[in-house]
Amino acid sequence: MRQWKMILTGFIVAGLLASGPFAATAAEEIRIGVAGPHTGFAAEFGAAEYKGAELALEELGGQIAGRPVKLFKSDTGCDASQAVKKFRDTLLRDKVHAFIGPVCGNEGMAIVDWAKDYPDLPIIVAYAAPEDVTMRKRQYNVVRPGWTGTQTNYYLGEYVVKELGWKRIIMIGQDYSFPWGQSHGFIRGFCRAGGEKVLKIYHPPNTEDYSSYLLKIRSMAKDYDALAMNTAGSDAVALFKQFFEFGLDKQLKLFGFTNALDSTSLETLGPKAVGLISGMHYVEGLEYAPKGMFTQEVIDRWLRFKKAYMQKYNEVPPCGAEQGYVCLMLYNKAVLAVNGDIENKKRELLGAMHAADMSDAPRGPFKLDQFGHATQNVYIRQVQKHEGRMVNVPIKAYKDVSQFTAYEDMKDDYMAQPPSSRDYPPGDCKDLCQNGLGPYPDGKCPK
Amino acid sequence: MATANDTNINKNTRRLIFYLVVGLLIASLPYWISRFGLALSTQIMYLSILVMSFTFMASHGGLLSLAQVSFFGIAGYTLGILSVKAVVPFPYPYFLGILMAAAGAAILGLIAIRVKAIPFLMMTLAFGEITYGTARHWSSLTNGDNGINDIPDLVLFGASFSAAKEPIRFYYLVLVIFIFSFWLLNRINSSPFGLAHQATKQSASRLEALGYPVFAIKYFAFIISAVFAGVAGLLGSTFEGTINPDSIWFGTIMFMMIAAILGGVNSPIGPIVGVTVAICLERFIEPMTEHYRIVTGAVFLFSILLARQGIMGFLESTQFYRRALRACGFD
Repeated sequence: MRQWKMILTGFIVAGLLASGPFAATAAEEIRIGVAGPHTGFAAEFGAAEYKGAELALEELGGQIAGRPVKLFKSDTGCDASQAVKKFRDTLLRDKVHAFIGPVCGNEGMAIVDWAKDYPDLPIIVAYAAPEDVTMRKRQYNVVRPGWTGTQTNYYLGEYVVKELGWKRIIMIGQDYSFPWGQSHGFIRGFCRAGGEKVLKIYHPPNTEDYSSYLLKIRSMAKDYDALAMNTAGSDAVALFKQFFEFGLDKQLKLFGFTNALDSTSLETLGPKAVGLISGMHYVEGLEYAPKGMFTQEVIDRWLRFKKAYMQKYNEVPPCGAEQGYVCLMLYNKAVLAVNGDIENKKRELLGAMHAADMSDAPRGPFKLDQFGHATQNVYIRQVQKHEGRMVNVPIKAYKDVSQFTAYEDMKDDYMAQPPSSRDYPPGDCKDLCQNGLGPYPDGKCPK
Repeated sequence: MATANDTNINKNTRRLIFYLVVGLLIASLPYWISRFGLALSTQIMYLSILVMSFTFMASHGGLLSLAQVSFFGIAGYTLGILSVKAVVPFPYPYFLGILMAAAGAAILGLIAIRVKAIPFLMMTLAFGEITYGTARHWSSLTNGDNGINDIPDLVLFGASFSAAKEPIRFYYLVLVIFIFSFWLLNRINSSPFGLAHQATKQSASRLEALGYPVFAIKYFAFIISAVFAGVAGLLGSTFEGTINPDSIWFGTIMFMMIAAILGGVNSPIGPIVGVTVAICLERFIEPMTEHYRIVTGAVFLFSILLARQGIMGFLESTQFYRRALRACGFD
């Protein structure tokens, strides 16, 4: 009994003592917090982000501007309140100089508000995609070399109407902020191009059995052209398989929003996925693009990154990994611009982050706009089989798409609109216009 | 006679010295601890209030109420919705937050107080599911998964109590509320009402036979515990500046249970010890290993095995602790 007590106390004391050195850190070291979920359903995205940052640091030789760099991994669990706790802990305990992350949309929204209290702390958002992080709630110290749900789906909406002629669509998606943002962009592009209706069906995340939803969809399939998958991860796989089991493929076309057809799940989806389209700013099969879409330089840069990543981790780099990589590279450029003096030149560092030249990013060139979000290429992608592997290949590229998509010239009007939510924008294109909820890029509604 | 008086005086001075030392230690904390330690101490205090509201029901009423976390959340969400979405000026969101937590307990209590032990636990858990589901799916009110962010900083008498910019002031604010809550809860426990409340646990039927309104006693005790949980919720969401569905669900419930059991349910300072140990374990082991949950789980497991009454229950059974108590002038 007594021994156990000793062991227990010893254990706690040892733990407290061992954590001591974390407070005392060398002055010349650059400490970067890499925050993302490492537990829960989004764990793979957090892992990808960290791997990307790790690869970038390895390529930089473990140092930036002659100063050694240490990464601090923290697990936000895709939970906004945990994210705030972990960010504060990492900042106060480990005294980090900058953050890469967070990853989930809800975390991003909480962190951008948290960031107000630390206006000199650079936060480079890796994967969180709500547009308000760099739009209505923007902070100068928060930049995002990533994506928004709207940015990546606006032109997909246009594409399915104009090129494929699908004017009535059923969208089925997980019930949280990221899928809401994706439908928001899609519906705007879709309605502007002359689409008629998007029927929105939301279900709780982690749904395994879609039969009730699919039965409902089957009963009205004759009125619609296609089904859009607005899900990701294991949900997308379950939905995809059950879609075919219900024989819906004979009645409806199938396509996906961004990570519904993520590189990590393509093999699980199987050969039926070949030919499906989706829209995203990232393609893992960039080298198979039609000739003339990219310069050789862009393809070479991409292949070099892909090979390095595959060599280190033995998998095709998913989008999150490239974004973790790019975040660290962007910070590297900003620190180099202030000659490594990040302690004294805090404003200059933030300025350099906004101005960083990212034309050498693996995904293709991009730059940050005045609000700190990436203006980049968005691709319509198709699942194809190359060299025995299923990959997303770009079939059409929209160059230099900003987070405001086609509303680039009417930013204030756009931001005066409500942010995307479960109910906004409405799926019926008539409502979108009649309620004055537009506006369309030309400020008018189509007749 | 004279000697007895002597020792009494002696005791009183010793107790005074003890209080002075502890008081000075706590009051001077912001000046010698790191910023991280200060943030931890602030969290320890408001989480202790939450756990105290849980042990209040658990030790005296014999009822394990998991709904405390829901009351914590109801108060936090009321504060968030009123101050961020409805832009209600300062004191009202706070008052209404406490009121809403009490109202929640008043409604749930009508049904849940009728049952005991496991059914009561299940009912409070179900209530937790309802509040979580509401927070998550009623997105026009609660912003759903995004939660309510940017809860404004407290401004009292023209001074900002921002948790990030004025951590010392915020610490003292929480400290005052914490000490008041601690004192008040112990006052309630030793009052006639508190004694009757304890008696409901020991033998409700006998108490009933003596003419006490057992249901009403339990019911009001439940509402009182909800008020304290609500206070913790207000402090917590002001400190974090955000409240979201995940912060009022399983993680927090687990934390509350672990802290309560680790500290010892029956001791008045059990919750404080439990929260302190649980938080320190989590925050200091986390940077060392990715699998810190395994470590904290193992520590929890061992403490249950070795000290079923928690750390305080274990300490109280040792000679050393009793001697130390006597040395400080307590009997």
